[in-house]
Amino acid sequence: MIEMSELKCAGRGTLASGDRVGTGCLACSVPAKQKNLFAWVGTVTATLALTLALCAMFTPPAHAQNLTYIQDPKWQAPPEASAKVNPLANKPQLAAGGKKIFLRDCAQCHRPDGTGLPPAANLTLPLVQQQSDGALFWKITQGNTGKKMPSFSGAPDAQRWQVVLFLRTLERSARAGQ
Amino acid sequence: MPRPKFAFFVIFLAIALCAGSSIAVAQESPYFTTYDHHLEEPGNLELEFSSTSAPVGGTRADSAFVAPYLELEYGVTGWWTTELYLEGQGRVGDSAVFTGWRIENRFRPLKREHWINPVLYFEYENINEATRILKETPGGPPDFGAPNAESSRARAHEIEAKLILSSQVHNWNIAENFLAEKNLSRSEGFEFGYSVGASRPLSTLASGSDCRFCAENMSAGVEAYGSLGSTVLGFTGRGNSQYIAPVVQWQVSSNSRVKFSPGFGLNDHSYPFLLRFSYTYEIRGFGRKLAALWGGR
Ligand code: HEC
Repeated sequence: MIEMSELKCAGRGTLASGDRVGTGCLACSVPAKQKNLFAWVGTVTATLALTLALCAMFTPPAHAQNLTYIQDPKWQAPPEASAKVNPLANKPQLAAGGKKIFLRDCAQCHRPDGTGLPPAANLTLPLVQQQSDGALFWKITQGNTGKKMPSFSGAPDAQRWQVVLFLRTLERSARAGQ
Repeated sequence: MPRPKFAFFVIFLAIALCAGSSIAVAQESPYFTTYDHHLEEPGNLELEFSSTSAPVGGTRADSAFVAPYLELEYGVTGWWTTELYLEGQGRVGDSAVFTGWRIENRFRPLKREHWINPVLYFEYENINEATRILKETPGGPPDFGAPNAESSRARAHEIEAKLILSSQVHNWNIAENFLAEKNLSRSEGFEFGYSVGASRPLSTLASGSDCRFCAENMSAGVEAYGSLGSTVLGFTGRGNSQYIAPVVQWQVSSNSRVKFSPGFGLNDHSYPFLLRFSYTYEIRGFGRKLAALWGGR
């Protein structure tokens, strides 16, 4: 935060309210109101341009369904995490809540049917489904941020277990669709 | 000067139109000034319309004000989130002015979750003395006496760094932020501040149906923020502003949420009462949609 003090316009003395603003000669010749307008238009345009450019630079084009998913060998759940049992395993009805979360937080990358928009994993594949509930829970919790899988540790534990319940239903529906 | 509300609306409309409407929201803490370690999901764009207001002026002859600001937050990668702020301010009995812009970047250096998760934050601010959004309150109390016409001419180019520490403990989020700020426009030394918060969702199970008013859509907590002194004013604690503020958040729909926080000044150098409000709209897969618009598939 800065303190108020006299404002000087280069070589032109102290400013009074409504005076022209700026430090250089060019800026001094622009009325304050007009300068504010330039600042606004400039800022808004710059905001949009920056946002668009960033998005375009960092986003790969979308393909339907990830047919070529290769698992990151360095992203493996430790044995004690894999050994964890889903505390909601005997409440399959809670998978409906897991589906709601999946459609809200995961489907944009993994598609609503779990088959994955590259680079997101195809969650219906055996190499995913063969992992234990504990391992899937660990991956959802940790994320693999270097590879664009976010960490969901901020969601309550129970909700992450609900999502695991739902992931198991993807396998069944994928098999039924074959 | 165009009205800030109108400009905010134009930006919002443009982005919403080009992004479409299949959108959603994830795990977000209800804080206003405290950051946790959960970055924006890659490719998502979050539009946050917020305001900080003081219904009664501060103790230093400042009048009541409303300071609206717009945040555009984009998840560039899983470990990098970038944000742009546009802010304004209007005071009772005075004018409404544009108070500047800020650009900030947050980086998560560690890949995995730990007991304490660090995030590094760097910000550049091109603001003026009329700023009142009070996203952070480092150093000594600002001199708020001057009218907007005068204070908005005093520009401040500031850089700021934060160390964000955040933990998840039994569905609670606990976060501590420490910040250092340097005004490049004049010599005020380094100013220091903090913000700490704790929050949790009101219900931890998700129901199978869509519900608007159920506890799973609410989270609540408390944050405390203020100043730790500066290299010029010293670190005795005298003259620093300090606040405590309960925070609540309601996820209104899958893609939008509102936050609210009444803040209480704890000493004579703080506003006695602050009201913060925000509405957030999240556009999922924004980057991908944009790439598709530009000819990608
Ligand atoms: C921003 C895009 C994105 C979002 C959102 C996302 N994921 Fe992922 N997910 C990925 C990517 C990319 C990978 C592959 C990471 C890799 O290559 O290691 C992945 C991998 C996974 C894996 C591991 C697959 C394996 O090989 O074992 C699981 C499980 C998973 N995601 C579940 C989820 C769930 C559940 C959600 C929602 C709560 C979610 N993801 C949200 C992008 C995303």
